[in-house]
Amino acid sequence: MRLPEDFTFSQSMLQDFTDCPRRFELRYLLDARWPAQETAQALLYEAGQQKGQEFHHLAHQHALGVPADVLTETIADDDLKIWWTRYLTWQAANLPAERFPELTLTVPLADSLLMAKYDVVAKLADGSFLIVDWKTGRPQKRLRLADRMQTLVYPVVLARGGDWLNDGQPIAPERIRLAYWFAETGETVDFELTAEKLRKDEARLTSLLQSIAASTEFAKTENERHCCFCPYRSLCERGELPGNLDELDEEDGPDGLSLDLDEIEEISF
Amino acid sequence: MSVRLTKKQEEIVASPLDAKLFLRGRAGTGKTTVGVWRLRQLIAAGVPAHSILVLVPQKRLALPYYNEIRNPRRKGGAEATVATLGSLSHQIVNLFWPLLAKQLNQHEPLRRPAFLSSELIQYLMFKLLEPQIAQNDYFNSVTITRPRLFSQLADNLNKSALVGFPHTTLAQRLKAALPSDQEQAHIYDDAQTCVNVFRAYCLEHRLLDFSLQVSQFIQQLWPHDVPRAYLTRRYKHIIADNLEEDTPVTHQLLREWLPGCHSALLIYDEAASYRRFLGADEVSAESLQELCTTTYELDATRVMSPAVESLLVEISELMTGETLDAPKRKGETAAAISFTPASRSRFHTQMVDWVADTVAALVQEEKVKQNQIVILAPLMSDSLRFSLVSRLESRGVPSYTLRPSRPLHAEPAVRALITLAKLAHSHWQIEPQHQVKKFDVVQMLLSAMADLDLARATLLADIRFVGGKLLPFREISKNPEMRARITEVFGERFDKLVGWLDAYRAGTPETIDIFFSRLFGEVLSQKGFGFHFSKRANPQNAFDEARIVANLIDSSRSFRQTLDQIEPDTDTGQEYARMVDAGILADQYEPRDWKKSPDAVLIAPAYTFLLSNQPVEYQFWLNIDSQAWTRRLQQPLTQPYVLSRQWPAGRIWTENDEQQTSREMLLRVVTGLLKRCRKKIFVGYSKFDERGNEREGDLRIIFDLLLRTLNQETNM
Ligand code: SF4
Repeated sequence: MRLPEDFTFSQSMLQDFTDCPRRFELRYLLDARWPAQETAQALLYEAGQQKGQEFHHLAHQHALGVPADVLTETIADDDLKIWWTRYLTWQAANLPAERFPELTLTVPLADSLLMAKYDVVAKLADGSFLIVDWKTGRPQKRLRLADRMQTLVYPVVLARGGDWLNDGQPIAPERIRLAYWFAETGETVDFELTAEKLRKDEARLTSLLQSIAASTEFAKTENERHCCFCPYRSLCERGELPGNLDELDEEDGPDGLSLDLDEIEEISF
Repeated sequence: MSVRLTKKQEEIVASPLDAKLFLRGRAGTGKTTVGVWRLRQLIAAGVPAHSILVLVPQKRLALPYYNEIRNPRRKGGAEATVATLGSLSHQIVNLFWPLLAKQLNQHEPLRRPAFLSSELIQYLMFKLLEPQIAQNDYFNSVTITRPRLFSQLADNLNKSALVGFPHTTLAQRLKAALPSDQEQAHIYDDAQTCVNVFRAYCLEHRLLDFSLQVSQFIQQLWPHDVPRAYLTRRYKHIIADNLEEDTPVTHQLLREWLPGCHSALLIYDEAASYRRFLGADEVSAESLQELCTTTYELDATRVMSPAVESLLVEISELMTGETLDAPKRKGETAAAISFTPASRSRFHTQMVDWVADTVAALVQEEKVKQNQIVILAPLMSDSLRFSLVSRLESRGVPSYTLRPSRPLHAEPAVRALITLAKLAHSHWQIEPQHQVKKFDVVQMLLSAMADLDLARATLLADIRFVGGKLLPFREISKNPEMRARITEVFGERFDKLVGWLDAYRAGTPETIDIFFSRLFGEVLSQKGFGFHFSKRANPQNAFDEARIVANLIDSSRSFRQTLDQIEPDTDTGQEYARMVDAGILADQYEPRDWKKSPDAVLIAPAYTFLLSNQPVEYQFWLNIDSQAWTRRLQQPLTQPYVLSRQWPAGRIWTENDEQQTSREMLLRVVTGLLKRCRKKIFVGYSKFDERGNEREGDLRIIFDLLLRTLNQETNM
């Protein structure tokens, strides 16, 4: 199947392709909605998603100038209160007042477009740029995060499409840092970019985009663990019952619930 | 966009980066093309796309801008924002609501407000107003369905927000301009009471319908320092297209925003304003011209062939009685119009056959691209749509339809899921007329089980639907003949469904959306069931059906989430099923892929096509005798003209106004369609209409006159 000319890739699309090419095809090329449950604990999952969204929304409101004390008064949930307090402390020490929340950048790559939707991008006092991704799921190990498409895509897109944030000048790779901030701990896992890494990552993304564009067959994954939390299970004849959240481990996703939050944002965009 | 610009278009596009431009002209003269190129030009010149706002009255009109934003040859960076007043107000209220929390509800100030979809508005009106209507005998002199009544009440509220007057003055305005009989005055008073009750309830429960969302944005947040600073600092360049289709509050917003902008391009289409029934106001749109430093006008058509242009002139002269100073090419006009031949214009079906044959000939013999043909009628009934789709399909021509909304509750898949929900929740209190009957079970089985025929579905329902319950097939022991007729294969599938329902009943009930989703994933989309995906059958059908179920699940989830906030003790599942049965919920879903124009013939109501603003080569106009070409929608509770800002206080609406607006409406529709036609229109006429009645509509009279003129021209 040929990709439509205006097809825009995102990190979660690339992650889907990496996890299961058939899922990529169903979701983005065939635009197939398949409304089966993703987990057995649907309401728990929904509550987790809502809490994550609420947190992102608070951070967005705060970045746009709604005073923190007004926002604090709007929080009823206990977990959210704790996350919010951690956030307030961390952002005061690490982010300048002027920051770009919910920023979307798109760059042309390999005859397609590659999009990144950031929670926050900020120019720090020393002229460097910090990308922050709020993670409200369980904390992840550095090694695991390093392997995610998000870690690859976010810095590359900022390096190639962030000139206007830098007075029209290209941002030097060494001046870009990506921080995953975990609400559960208030700590971050950071990734620095270098010129060499940018070159390699860009080459890897280019070849991935080209191979997707050239694909005519999109095979089902061989790792059937991916099917447990995938709504297309019945379509692929890979089981009847959805996966159990208690059995979700690192292999199934970097942070369970918040992975889907990224997807939701990109899909709705 | 690969079109070449004219010199004038180039000049406008290349205007200085701080220019404020007003661009006017009739449809088809390339104004939106200028808008798209200006967007590209701003970005190429170094303006951050992040600071550009493209404002349109409805998102479909932004398609050319979306295409530019998704152009892979574009420059990397941020994205321009495309918005409507609705999306902008939703975003701003959603982000900044804590700043107005105290105004929304004094008692409970800091709970996040819920945005109401149109179906939730219908539901809440049903719930709140129905008892009052019954008790007080409101609206007793109008015959109108509840969904239409509620949508007119919502429409009145929307008008107050979009035109900018207090909702409490609705009845007063309507009565002053339409002082007919006492009965009608009562209707307006009843409508006023109802909207007041609804608004008070929304405020108390922090619920935002569209009207409250817009008025909170315009009246509270736009004047507030924080949101205003966010909007005006971020968006320094504004491109506003189809201004004439937008509302006075949007124009007011632009009036206050533009002075602080670096650049602006305001695009105004003359003789359009098709969304007047939604509050569009061309007069307030045109008044924005005074804020711009330069006005440009485009007058040469980039769409119509000389023949179509000549046809436009002929028809305009016939309709207005005025002689236009425009080129008429004698002898050429006839090439732009074709009528149903006499031999095929007696019955409606003959005419529809002629349309399908002509479309097929255009596509197959003249190699016209399918997406360059549209078939239009003033109203597109389901039966007409079906006749056209099936006739085109049988001739090998793909088609697609655009309708304002799709009634989800009428879909067999939705009916099947509602039936199964009732069977699984035997404790629900259901009114007798909506309890599950044998007929519902047969229909459900036909949807739920793959390859099942009507005879077997009826047999299963006859013998296994007992006392409002489905009993297992395997327990049929005394009737081996019956077992054999149904077959073990279907019996096994039936038992799987029954077993799933029994197991569900034995556990804790799920919320209604999760129930639907589990049933779909664990049974109905599994092998052997009706929603299973099979590459052998048409996979698109499976995707379409799954999408319908997904829409149902979305609708029921948002219903459950909102109701949990305001009525936590209500059984949302039972309530949802009750409302679907009443035709109140599960309605109005965005058609899939609205951003893409498929390579297929479009079948649409004339207004929907006009508002999509995409010219085509060939147009078919059907049902020209229909009154709907000229008559406004019957709206006994509201009136778009007198609720407009242009209606002078104290003036009374007369029969003369009614006729004049009808004539004007027809003129605008006819000329608007022609301006969006490149080569030719085909007029579908039949002596008897869809229902077998003989009528003579205003549009046909015009075509009769036109035919006479054309004949005279050819004989001269
Ligand atoms: S069910 Fe498994 S094979 Fe099918 S799309 Fe999902 S992950 Fe891929």
